Amino acid sequence: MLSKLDRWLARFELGLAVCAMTSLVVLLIAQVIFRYLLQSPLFFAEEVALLLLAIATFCGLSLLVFEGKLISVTFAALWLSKKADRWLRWAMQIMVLALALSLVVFAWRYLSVPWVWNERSATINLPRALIYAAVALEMVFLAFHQAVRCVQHVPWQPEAQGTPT
Amino acid sequence: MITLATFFVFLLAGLPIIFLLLLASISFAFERDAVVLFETFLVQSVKGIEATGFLAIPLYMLVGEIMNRGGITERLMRTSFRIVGGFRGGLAYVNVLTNAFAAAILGSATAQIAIMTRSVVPEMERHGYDKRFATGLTVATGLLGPIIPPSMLMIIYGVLAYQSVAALFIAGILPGLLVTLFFFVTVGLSRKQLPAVETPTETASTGSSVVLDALPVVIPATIIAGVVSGVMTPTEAGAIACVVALLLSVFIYRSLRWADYVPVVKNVILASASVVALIGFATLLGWVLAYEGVPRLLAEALSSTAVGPISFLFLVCAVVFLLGMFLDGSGVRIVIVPILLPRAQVFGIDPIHFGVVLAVATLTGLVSPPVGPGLYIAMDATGLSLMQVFRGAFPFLVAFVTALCVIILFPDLSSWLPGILGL
Repeated sequence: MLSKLDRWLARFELGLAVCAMTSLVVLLIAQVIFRYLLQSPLFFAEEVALLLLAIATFCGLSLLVFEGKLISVTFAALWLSKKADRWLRWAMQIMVLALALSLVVFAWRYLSVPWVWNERSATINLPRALIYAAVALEMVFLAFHQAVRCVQHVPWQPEAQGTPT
Repeated sequence: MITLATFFVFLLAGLPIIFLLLLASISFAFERDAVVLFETFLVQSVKGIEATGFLAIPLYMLVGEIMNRGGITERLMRTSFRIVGGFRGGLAYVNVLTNAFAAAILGSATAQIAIMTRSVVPEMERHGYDKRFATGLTVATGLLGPIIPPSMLMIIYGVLAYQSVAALFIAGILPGLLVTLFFFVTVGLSRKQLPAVETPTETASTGSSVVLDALPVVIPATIIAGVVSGVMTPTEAGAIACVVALLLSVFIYRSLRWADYVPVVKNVILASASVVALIGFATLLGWVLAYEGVPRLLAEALSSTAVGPISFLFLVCAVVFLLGMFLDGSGVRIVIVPILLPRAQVFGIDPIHFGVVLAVATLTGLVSPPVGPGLYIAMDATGLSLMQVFRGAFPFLVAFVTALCVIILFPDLSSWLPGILGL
């Protein structure tokens, strides 16, 4: 059940990230056409593109966690026994979960302050706190993926397929 | 001190680099009793990536991914073979030249090492080259990626240092060619490693195939022409390069189908997220360090040790080399540039030249044990051990460091071309 929800969430994030990335590329190509051929630049292009980049980046970060593809140094594995290495990797996964959750808590505290919602973006007049809230939500998804991985890869059970590296 | 110890302990324990930066920021804020900063951590991370210049990163990654999926790498290899394949050790020269061509499209050393170790090394091994030599050469030549334009490191530096990314792109051309030349010379000097008899690769040589294989050079030509003429910003040039790469792969080579769309974009999202999120969290760490005045202390220590611009640049290279062994190039830049650029300017160093030196110096750490990420990528692709890859790469790294020294001693190598083009 947990794995199913995890996969479903990852599919949703992938869809969102693909849409964001595609829109980003299309928007920047359109910007070149509008600026140089039609002499009428899209005034909102850069701001929207940055928003799309932030969405694609944090969705991507969550997907990196889901797929166990975060870059790390695996130097300790050269010295440790297989069992010790598994425990260490699991401990690092717990650490990632704790850090992701702490970021969510920090973001929650920040977003709870009413005046932060007054700041608006320059061209599309979007509350900037909304962008931070979206990123914080992505961090919740990331934490969920990481929690599932921690449950799936407990070191006292036989090693499952797709153990993170 | 606690932060430094925490950083190294968790780095060696295998905590992912992105979260390591977050942990270092939290630890430092705790150590200095600045927990008030916590609440804006996410905001600072997001603000770190909100620079227009960073929009170019996923675009150039998309060009690279289309190139890889669309069979452009193989075509570049065939073109290189036609140019330098006839010499003894032809494939080693082909490796260098293909990497130089790919560098003009890709812009990321890690991406280039990952692609090339999987495509060029098996081909060299099949033709009798020692696997360590082939892998080492490919790892070293992969370093051309961020020197020859387009370059992710130059984009990041340009944004952080408020310098023209176009000028930085052009500034990388001569140093990139110099490094390529040094690699060619090193291959020539490695005669013992080159097989005596080399089976020629089956390369069709009809006029149309020669033209078709050489067509990918249109991609870097578009980028350079667009940026130099001032018609496009580097970000827009990246968008147009995506269109050119897509047209080549879909309509001319017919090697990319609609079914490839999601996998291609997914790879770009994951690769781009690795770099951009790292920028975000490295910015956070840089911000926390700046809050406590650490950059000023570091800069003063470096400035008091250096006696002139050359010694300052060599000191910077030493610091960057050490940091580059533990952090990604983007992370190194975010921590280093705000600290050292003002000091470099005090010594009269051209910011464009400083950016090029910083880019080349950062790359040395990428392939130096114990942590050099480039070595790990090659290990993963070839099954060799860390030290086997490093030994294979060592002669080429010596050549690379020699080229870096030449670039430091002759600043015109990086500042002359942007100057005459008026950038």
